[in-house]
Amino acid sequence: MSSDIKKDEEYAIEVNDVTMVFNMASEQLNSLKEYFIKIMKHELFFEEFKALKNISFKIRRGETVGLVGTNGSGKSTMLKVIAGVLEPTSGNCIVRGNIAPLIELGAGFDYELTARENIYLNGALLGYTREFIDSKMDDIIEFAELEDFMDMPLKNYSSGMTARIAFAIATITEPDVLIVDETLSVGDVFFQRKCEKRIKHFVDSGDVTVLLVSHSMDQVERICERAIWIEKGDMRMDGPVEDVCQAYREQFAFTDIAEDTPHAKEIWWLARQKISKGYPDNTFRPDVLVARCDVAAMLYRYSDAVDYAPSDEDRTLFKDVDDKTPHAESIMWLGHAGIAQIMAGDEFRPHDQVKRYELARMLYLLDGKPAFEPTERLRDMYPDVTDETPGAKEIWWLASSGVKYGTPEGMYAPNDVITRRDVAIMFYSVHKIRVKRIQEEQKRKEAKRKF
Amino acid sequence: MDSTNQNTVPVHHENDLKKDIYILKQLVGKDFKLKYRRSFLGVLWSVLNPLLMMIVMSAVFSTFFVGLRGENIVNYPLYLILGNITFGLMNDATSSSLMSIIGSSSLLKKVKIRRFVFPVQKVLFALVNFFFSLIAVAIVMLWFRIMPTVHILWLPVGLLLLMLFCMGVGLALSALSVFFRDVIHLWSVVMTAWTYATPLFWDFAMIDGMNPIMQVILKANPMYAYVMFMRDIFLYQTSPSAAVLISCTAWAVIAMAIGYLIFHKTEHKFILYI
Repeated sequence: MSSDIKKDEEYAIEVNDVTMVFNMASEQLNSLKEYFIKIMKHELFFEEFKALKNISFKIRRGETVGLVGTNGSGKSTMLKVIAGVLEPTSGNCIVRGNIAPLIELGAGFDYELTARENIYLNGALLGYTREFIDSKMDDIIEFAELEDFMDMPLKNYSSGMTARIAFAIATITEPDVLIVDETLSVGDVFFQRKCEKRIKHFVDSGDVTVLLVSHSMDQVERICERAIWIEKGDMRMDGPVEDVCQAYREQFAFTDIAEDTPHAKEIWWLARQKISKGYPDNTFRPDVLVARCDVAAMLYRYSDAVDYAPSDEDRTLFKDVDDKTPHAESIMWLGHAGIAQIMAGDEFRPHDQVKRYELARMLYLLDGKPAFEPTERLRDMYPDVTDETPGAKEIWWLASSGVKYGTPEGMYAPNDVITRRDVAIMFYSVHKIRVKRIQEEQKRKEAKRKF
Repeated sequence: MDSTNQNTVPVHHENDLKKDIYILKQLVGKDFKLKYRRSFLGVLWSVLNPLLMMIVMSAVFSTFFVGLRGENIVNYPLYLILGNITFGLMNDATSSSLMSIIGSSSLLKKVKIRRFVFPVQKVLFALVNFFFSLIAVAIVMLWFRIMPTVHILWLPVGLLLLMLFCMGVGLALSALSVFFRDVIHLWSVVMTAWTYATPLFWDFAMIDGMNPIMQVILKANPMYAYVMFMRDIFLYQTSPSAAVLISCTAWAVIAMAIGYLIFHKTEHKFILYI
């Protein structure tokens, strides 16, 4: 029997130099006609997308490993390769033992059949014998807590109920390898706790290899001992779970920003968008005051200006800006785009500090001066911002994004100088306004199409 | 959860083949349950359908198209129904396995499973329905007092060869339709043309009166061979001729070879297109 574990068989999962390349046709080719035409014209080009690049790691029997990475990093692809659903372009993946995959729930469920019938079908797909399923039927029903619903077609179930059945079937016995892909996020608290308990039971038994993919870093840290971090197809890190998770958190963050820092979310967003790279020592220094040239640089990075090269006219726009001024190119672009001129006359004053209302104005101009009418609620939001306040409209426009941005006393303080943190918050507000606008436009298009 | 009877009940199948066979059984069973769930006559339709078709066609070809049917057919209703159910089996099997991979996309994306199971399962399901329609054949034979002879023992052979043919075609079609959805529309046209090219409702003796090229084409038609096989053993009460046997076998082998090749070469790419 396979209970003899020889020296070279002690790895439950072996990933050997796996590369996964997807050929993305530059257009959708779904019909014979298009295909042949393209071949005739020698226009059949495929863009290669490397989802995984030479990944190798080995997992021993009984280990609990978490797979982390941002969306689109390749970790789901890796999971599919391990589960045997996807064949790697090169390299190989060896899994020793029976795999119970929980990759998106309801694998193999046919929604027209009843729960009982689906248990047999799903059990068959997982490789169980009929006798075994018979003997475990009651246990499955009990775990899933669905005694009264067994003979109802699955299409009438809620997603939580389907999740319970899927999990019950997959774990009714100890699989050799359990692969869980964000399944535990479905279901109520009691169910999640039950699932974690069962996974923990497997972990403690020492015989089941568990591979967990989760976006909840807490869950990964709670359950796993080891973590593998895959980012954009590369293996970033492979080690003890605390180390990997900390490094993962720090990739967006700065060493001086923690989860409870005020407006940490906006600061991390700023860094992810590459608008600010922080200081060379990997800090962000949120309370440092910002100069006008720095703001110019950040506005430049936020805009979509890609191929900008300053013309001779741009160079002479501002008296006090030349090639030696820090972020000179950004300042010239600002003038070129018509955002800075209105502020400064023919001097830019690159080292002056920026007031809160000034930045609001610049962002408003950058967004193309969108049509905006402040509601009553917005007008009353800040006691120190009225119709007479310079930049009032732009301040209300920023506030319409829903991002909270006042002083602790409820004021706006439009004439205060901005800090780096303020920059993060204001840019994030603009981003949210844009996102809302795009969503509304899409909804309008959908509505038009329906009629 | 740890029960003592776990020692006596086997948890997993001994080998992959047993596992696949069990999966096949489950999938065919599922299709069967779903096909007749909520229909009143249910399974009876598998018997009624060929019977009714035969009655209608007999009537049409005995009244309107009398000339077309030819003089030499011994028993037209039986001639008809045998041809129809055989062709119908091929039609069902190939048309449903055409969609089998596309239709199981959710399964294929999540579980490691041998992909050939899907088209094969559809062919087997068509065979199950075929058995029910054999009941209709029995009814017709009873009605006309035609007794079955020992030649009926050839039936398993013929069915096996036809199954292999259908599986080969099904494998090829299911793979191609993943990449080229046109195949779905094309196939229904092919089926229509094929229906007329096969002597289902017209007398096969008419072929001898046509020009030599047509004769070759019409006789090389695989369905010609399989339908002749069925008619030989049920209607003409004789063993199938060597020519028919060779044709049946050859087509089965060719279809399986081509189908397997196409399927095997492309199956690892399915998941990217479904």
